[in-house]
Amino acid sequence: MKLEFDQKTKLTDILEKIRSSTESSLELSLPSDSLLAANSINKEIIKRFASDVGKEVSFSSAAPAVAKDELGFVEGEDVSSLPHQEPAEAALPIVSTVAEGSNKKTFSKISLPNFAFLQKIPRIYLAAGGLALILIFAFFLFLWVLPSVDVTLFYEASTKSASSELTASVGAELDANKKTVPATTEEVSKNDLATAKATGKKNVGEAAKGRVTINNYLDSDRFFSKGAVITPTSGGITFTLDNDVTASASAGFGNHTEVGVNVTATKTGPEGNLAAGTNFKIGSANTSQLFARNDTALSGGSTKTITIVSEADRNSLKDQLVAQLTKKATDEIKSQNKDVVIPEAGVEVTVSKETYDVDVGQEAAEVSLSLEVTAKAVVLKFADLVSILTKTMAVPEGFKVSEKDSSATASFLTKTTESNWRIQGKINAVLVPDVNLEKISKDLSGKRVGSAKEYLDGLKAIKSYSLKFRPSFYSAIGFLPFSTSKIHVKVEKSQ
Amino acid sequence: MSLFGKLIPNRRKKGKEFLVIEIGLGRVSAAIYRGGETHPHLVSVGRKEFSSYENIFNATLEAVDALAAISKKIPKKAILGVTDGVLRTTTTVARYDRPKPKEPVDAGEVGKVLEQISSAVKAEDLKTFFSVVASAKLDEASITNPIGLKGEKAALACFIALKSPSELAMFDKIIDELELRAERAMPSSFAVSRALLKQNLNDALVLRVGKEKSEGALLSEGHIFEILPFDIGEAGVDYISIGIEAIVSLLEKEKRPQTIWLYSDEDGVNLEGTVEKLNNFAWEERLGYEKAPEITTKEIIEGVASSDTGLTALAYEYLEDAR
Repeated sequence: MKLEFDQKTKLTDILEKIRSSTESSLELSLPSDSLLAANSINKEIIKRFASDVGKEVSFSSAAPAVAKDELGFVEGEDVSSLPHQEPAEAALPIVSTVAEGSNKKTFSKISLPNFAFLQKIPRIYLAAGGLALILIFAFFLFLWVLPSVDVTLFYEASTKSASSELTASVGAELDANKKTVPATTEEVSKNDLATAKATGKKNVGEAAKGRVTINNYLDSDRFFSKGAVITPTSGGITFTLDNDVTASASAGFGNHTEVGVNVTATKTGPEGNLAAGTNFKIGSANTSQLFARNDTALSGGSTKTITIVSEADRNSLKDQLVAQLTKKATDEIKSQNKDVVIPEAGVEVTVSKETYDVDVGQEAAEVSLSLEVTAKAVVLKFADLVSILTKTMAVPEGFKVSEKDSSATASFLTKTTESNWRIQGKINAVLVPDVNLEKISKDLSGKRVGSAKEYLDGLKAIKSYSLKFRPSFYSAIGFLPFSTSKIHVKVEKSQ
Repeated sequence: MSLFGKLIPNRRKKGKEFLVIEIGLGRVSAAIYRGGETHPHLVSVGRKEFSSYENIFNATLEAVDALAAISKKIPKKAILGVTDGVLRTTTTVARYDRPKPKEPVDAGEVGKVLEQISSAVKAEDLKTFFSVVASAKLDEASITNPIGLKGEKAALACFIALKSPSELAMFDKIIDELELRAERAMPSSFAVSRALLKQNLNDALVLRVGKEKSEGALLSEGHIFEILPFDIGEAGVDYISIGIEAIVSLLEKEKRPQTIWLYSDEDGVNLEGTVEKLNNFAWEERLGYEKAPEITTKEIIEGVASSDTGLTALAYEYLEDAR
């Protein structure tokens, strides 16, 4: 079965067609000049998808292929055959060449002492002595060099939270008693352009117009000023007179006078288009004595709804862009200042430039805003915040706060002066054992295993421990290595 | 530096403003950057979305217009980053015996090799628009940049990118229309990949996800292996894993990346759906992975939003070039 596609067909449409086709073998006809057909990965995706849904596909046009080179170069060779190299922009490696032999050392001939006396000692004693020396050396090696022990101290993972009101102050020193933490301010300007759809609606149109004749059966003149209202006797939309007009008095009973005047509907819309012969009441006059009638239809009334830019559209676009630029500014400040904390709501944003391309109420499908903001952030050093908050909480004996594992945040409370702020600092401190690993390995060196366990049991904040001897059979000797460099102590969180 | 160079310093001093135009998968961004000591500073940006490839020219002009509305002056010096379209990339190793092995390799020699490789890489209806030596060997010694080094047996790994003449003509038209001095045009994914290679990420698939399209850059053993766009994006997220499967399959099983690094083409693209699909993909069964690769959306360039990654990476490339 042949499936034909045009230039505008999307790849996902083709995949859907393949899935929904009932045929198991499909020929896909793609325009040879389409971008989709020229892309080998697109074709591979089609083949793989077809295979997944149990179908076979073929293409009725092929994409151009890269030709083989003609100059002896291995075109398209997998560069992975080359070993890893640094990026090309790195400085060139300095290659130094040392002349052959320049680094050679020469030795003068050594004269050995005369060991002829050894020949007088029986060989059996020599052998026994040699063996004893080897054994002593091996024993020494065994005790001092070969064995090592890994001591792992496990502690219970624990965290502690604390919160305190602090003063962040520019130029101040860290002072735990006064709860003052040094702060700096960073200012960044950001600008961008954003576009949003206009959502405001407005009705516009034309009012119906035409001409009516005023019929006066009264024996006196009647004057009507421009703007006088006439209403169809059947009710509905009202009209106003376009000009001043006077209806002359009638000649007597049964006679009447007529005078024409142009009228315009008071509202836009087609409801003002009235057929000829419609009678109108003029003000509150009695219609049997005075009325108006249109001899031709009143027409031209129309209405439509257009999309305009509303105040809400502009405000929403501005809010969105301000938030976006504030985030970008905050991110930039954070990236430029390592290990800092910016208090929540501690970024003061000032709009320095705000230009819309469409005014409020103007007809448009979308509105664009070019905005520039200046963000001023209060910046605290993470280490300072952790340090001061740690001092406000009671850390259990034997523990200390792990700065690298702890998290600290701050939220902005009030601005007291231009360079002082009240902030609420919070810390979620991770507590780790406060142990001196070097001292422990020194204390353990040469101890019997039993004594070492007693020592380790006495360490505060340590829940359990493990001793791993290398080689493992060394544990049978019953004491720890004598060299502190062979005792490797580490602290780990218990699982 | 020569005496002449010392007396007349490089005109492209750090601190000067330059223009970065990036034609993404669904929008064009035009941004003014100012060169810094370590990184470029974004001054202002204009953007315009486009719905089809035919609209790119107008979208680019409108993005620059938007930029002009908020900027006093548009710099003439520019770098152009491109994605998608008819893009073919290849890495070719040029092996040759140097006629004068005692003389150091210079820019002219590298330029000739790149020229030869570019002319040798023939693809029907495609033209080379970007070429660079990605890595090299001299007498079996691996080096990153051969310039200034001596040796007889040379092997230069040349990364070549090709595009259709019609697309290249459109880029020329953009540059002419805006009266720019484009210093360089390059695949945006190449610039982003280089940003990751600098962080010693040697094997990865770096995936730019757009609304309707995506573009993957395969990094293998510290090199950019290939850049591969395809026509599935956030809107077709149910199929995106097939696209990734098609790309990753290009590498031998043991060389397949252990990291899939995602970043978005524009602000409106939500990467969470793609992350979820890839986390649920049967990596072991479909691609023979022993352990599923890490899927990450972490910042590629520190402090830069995901959707601005390509733009910023291009700005870094411009500054590298200036130095």
